Amino acid sequence: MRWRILLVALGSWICSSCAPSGFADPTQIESVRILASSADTPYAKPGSQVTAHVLAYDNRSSKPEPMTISWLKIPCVNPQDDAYYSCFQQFAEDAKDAGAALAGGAFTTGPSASFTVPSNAVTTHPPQPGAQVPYGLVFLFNVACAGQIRPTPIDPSNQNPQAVPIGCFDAQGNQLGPDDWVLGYTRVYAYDTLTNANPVIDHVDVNGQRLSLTQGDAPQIYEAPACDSGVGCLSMSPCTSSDKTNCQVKIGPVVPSSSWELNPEQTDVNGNPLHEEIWADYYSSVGQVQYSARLLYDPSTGSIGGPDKTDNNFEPPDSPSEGYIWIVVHDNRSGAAWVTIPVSIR
Amino acid sequence: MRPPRLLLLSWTAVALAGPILPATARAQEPQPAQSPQPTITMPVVKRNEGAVYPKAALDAGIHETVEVPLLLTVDATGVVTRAEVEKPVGHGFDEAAVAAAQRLVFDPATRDGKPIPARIRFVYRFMPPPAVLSGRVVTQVGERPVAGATVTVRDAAGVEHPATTDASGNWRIEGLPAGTYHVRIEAPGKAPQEADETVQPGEEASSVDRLSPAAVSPPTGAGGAAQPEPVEQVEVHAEKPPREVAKRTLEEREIDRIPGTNGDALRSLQNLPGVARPPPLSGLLIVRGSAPADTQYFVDGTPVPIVYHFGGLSSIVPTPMLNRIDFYPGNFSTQYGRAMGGIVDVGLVDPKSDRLHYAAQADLIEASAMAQGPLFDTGWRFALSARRSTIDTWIGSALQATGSGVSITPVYYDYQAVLERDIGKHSSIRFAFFGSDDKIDVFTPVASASTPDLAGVISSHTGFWRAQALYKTALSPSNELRIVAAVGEDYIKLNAGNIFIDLTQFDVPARVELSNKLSRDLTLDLGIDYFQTSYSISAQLPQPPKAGQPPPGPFDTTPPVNTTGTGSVFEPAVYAELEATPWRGSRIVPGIRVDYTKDTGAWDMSPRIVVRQDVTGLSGDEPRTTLKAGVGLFTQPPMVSETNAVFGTPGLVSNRAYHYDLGVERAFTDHITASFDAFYKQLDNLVEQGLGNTGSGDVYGAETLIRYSPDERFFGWIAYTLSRSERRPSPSLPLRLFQYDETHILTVLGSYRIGSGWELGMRYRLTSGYMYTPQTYGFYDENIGTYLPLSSYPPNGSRLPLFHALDVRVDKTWAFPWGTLGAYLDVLNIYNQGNVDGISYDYNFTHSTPANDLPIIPSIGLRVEH
Repeated sequence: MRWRILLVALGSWICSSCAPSGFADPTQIESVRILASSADTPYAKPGSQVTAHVLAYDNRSSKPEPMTISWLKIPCVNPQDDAYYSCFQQFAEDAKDAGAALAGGAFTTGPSASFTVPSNAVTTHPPQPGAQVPYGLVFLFNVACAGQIRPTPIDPSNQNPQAVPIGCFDAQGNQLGPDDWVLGYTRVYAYDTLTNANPVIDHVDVNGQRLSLTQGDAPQIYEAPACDSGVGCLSMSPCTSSDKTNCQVKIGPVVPSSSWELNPEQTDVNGNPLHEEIWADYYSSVGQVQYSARLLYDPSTGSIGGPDKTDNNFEPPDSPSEGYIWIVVHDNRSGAAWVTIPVSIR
Repeated sequence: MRPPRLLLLSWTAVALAGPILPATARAQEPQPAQSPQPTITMPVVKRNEGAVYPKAALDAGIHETVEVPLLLTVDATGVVTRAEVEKPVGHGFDEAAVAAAQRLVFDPATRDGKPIPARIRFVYRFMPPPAVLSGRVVTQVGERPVAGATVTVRDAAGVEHPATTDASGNWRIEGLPAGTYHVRIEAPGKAPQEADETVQPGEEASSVDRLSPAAVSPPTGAGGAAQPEPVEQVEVHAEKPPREVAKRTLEEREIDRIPGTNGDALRSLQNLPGVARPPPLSGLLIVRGSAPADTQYFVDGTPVPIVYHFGGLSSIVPTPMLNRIDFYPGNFSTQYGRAMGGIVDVGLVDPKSDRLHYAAQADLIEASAMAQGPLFDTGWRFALSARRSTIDTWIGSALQATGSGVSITPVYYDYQAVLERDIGKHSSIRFAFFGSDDKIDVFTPVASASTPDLAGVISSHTGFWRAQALYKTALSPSNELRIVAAVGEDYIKLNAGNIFIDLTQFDVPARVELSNKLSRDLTLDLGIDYFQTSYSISAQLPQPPKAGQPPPGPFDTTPPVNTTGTGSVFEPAVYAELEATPWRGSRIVPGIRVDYTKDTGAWDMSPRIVVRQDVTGLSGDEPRTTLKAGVGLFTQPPMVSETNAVFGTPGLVSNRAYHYDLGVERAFTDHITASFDAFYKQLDNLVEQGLGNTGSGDVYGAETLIRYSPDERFFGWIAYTLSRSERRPSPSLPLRLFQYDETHILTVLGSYRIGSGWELGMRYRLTSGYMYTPQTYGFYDENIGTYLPLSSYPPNGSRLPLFHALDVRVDKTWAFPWGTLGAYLDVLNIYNQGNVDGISYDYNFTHSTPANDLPIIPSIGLRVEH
């Protein structure tokens, strides 16, 4: 019966993931948003140094204070039950005061941060029955805040394990809301033997044509539209047609099959080894993308198919504007890579 | 109430005193010499008040005829002046004889016509007082009187004493010697009923006999005339009827015609008091605030894993294949165990023996066909039925028409086969094979940003089958043996991205029950309940969160845990139950059950008792009122998934619940009955994921059912339950409302035969909303690219708005020489109320909107019966 209840819960979950109409489009960036992060080694060896990057963007119409990316200096290692929220309790126990532990000096700013995976990260992780390979887990917390980060004392009677001990405040001391700050985290797994490489975005196709990228060797955060050079830029006319589908262009990343790595920890129901699952998330600050995500590689069957099955549709706005399209490619082992495509509607 | 002991006097003065009296007289009277012989007459009894068979003798178990010889002195006025026991026999007979003799009045003895005193020998013969058998015959459903029923009482020598029930269904036979009698009751259109009754001298044994229908008849006719009441083929017992004293039942017509159920018998359970409105498309049965997994399902005593096809669209046994449904919301018999909530025990149909019958039905959801009858002249009877969903034939096109990229193919089917025959007059054997299969494949080409793993193909395949043998025999008039054994398989196969479950288990359930009627007032039931399973499992799932904790994040990024292996479950049990009726209208049923669970190595002892007492209607002349109470301990072993080395928790013992129930039942008229139950369940040792047996909780409430049982035109009822269900995952955590708590559950329904074959029915439901956990802006998981909510604490702290809906059903039946043709329109939520069954949130949980329950849904069907 427990299995059946799980099926029911799963069904409910599936339905709950179907976004109802009437809500804001999650692909539309209109506030302070963190879009992704990526560690250079998602599966790191104990004792190794890891650098993580974050992709964030601030598209508020009014910006009293600029957005700042901050990283909590203290990595959270092996929290109870592998739950991210258990880190706050861990911080509190370590510092006797979670607020103090998370006060100003606890953060470093910038789009990236480095830390060293504790050498005992694997050995201090409680054994997990059923886990294929022993592992350790490190959480890195970052904050995109258009103000100042301050501790927010938690009422001792509050037993909610998710209670957050920090907030983002403006200059007047008012706590800012969801449009002005994001509290995010990224996981880095520690393995003695297993490795995982971030997926590779070979290039981006637009209507079947290769779009040259200015992306360097590492993911980047663009601070301003950069269509002037004409390289790596999507330049389009405003869409004035009553049928917006007439203006759509197909856009999608090309990820080589070499990125579809074997996942040694997982098998299918018949015991056959599974690979990673790879998908692409889409965001834009101008125009509109049709799908929030597209599946690229299935864990068992591999590539979903050609661009007609994996590309997204981008629809330009009806008036001139400048902005970006972001394509973030994830694998299901904490790997990620992204491209930022400047868009010029003229 | 027993009648006063009957008076009985037997005297044999004439026969016995004759030879004595002259001798005695001669001793008293001088003999004149040479005189003529005088004319002498003996005393003649003029007044006799009789004597009583001594109570002391009855109490001592003496039921024979006893003679006490006396010597009486009768004076010249005819008064007994002296009475002496000639030969004492004891046990109160001597005293009774003397006392009775002293009240005798004689016409005195005479000599030549002149009164004279006399001394005579007088013998009292004490006959045991006769017994009386009486009773009342009513219909099993609705308890309406059955007039004209033939009652045949046969004694041990084969002598029959017939009687016929009067307009009130009463019958009575007096003057019966003490002993055991075989009582057979027959009435047209009803199944004969037989029983043995033992009656003591001077006692009256009375019983209420409820006759069930003899056979199924077409449910309705056509032409508009009021139809005879259909045969009550299917019964749904809303509460455990302790040994047939009283039953709350639903008739076939009710099941067929309850709006919103599509004539599905098991779905009609959801309209009874104590049963909460289940989440839509869940197929769950929530009984008196218990978790769905706490209720067990049986088919003729054999456990089955599910009772509904996926989503609760339909039950696993079609209504025409059901003989009965026993539903016990709590305080059930020791016959049942391994469950803390309720019990649903379904009986497959007894195949008809008169001729071949068949029926077919089809609608937009499913199609079914059924046949039953004698198997040539072999003495065997059979019933066959098969059903398959039809929804898959059109839902794909419908989704394409809406532009959805989702492809979905839900298919379910079930089947039942019964082969049965009688062995002699007192035994029968039956073989049954039944099963169910649900399969659904969903293909979603578009990944969700929050759950990308659920893109692609998701498939689920679940089902079971059972091969069952059932043997019943009357070992003697007072002993009955019932054996049911089965083998079967359950399977669950789920694939969704990189997670899967593949569970196959082979079950061997068996049950042996011996019912022994120790006396008229005492019956002892003994039983063995055996359950064994061998299973193999292969699963790859995300790590489950601990009870009461939010999930640690999307499962896409958490290394799943795997388990592969085989195992077994061995859970034998024995039980004993005594049924006592120490005084009229009473029924006391104490019992005990002992369970062993190999998985945990635990022994669980579960004592239970149910007491019922009729306080009015004892004579059968007035409506009955019954007070009832029950208390008992119920245990439920941990599930395999909870003891599994990977997903479970070590060191578990059985979950435990104490059930308390106090209630009253009242029959106001032949059709109107009401019942009220106050219940309380105390739960402890509850298994909590990742914690152990740390959970506890309680459920308390009251439920009432006011019902108008079917007459020629109308049936309906009002069911209302008020309850509160709470849980505490561990002692350190606060008590909170259970996720399935529903404070108010009101169901009002009725159906009326308009005429011309038309029938109109309505069902109105008003229930409290589901519990839910509000969520707000929280965290951003950068590995997946999705926001995670900040869940309010404790979970399930808020309730959705009140639910209400009106369902309407219209039936039309045509009669033909070959059978009947029926059509129906069943409309769910006819005023399209936008009930809320959940809350939907936007991508970052800053905005929410109600997620609506099912909109107006019409269903059209056809049914053919022969």
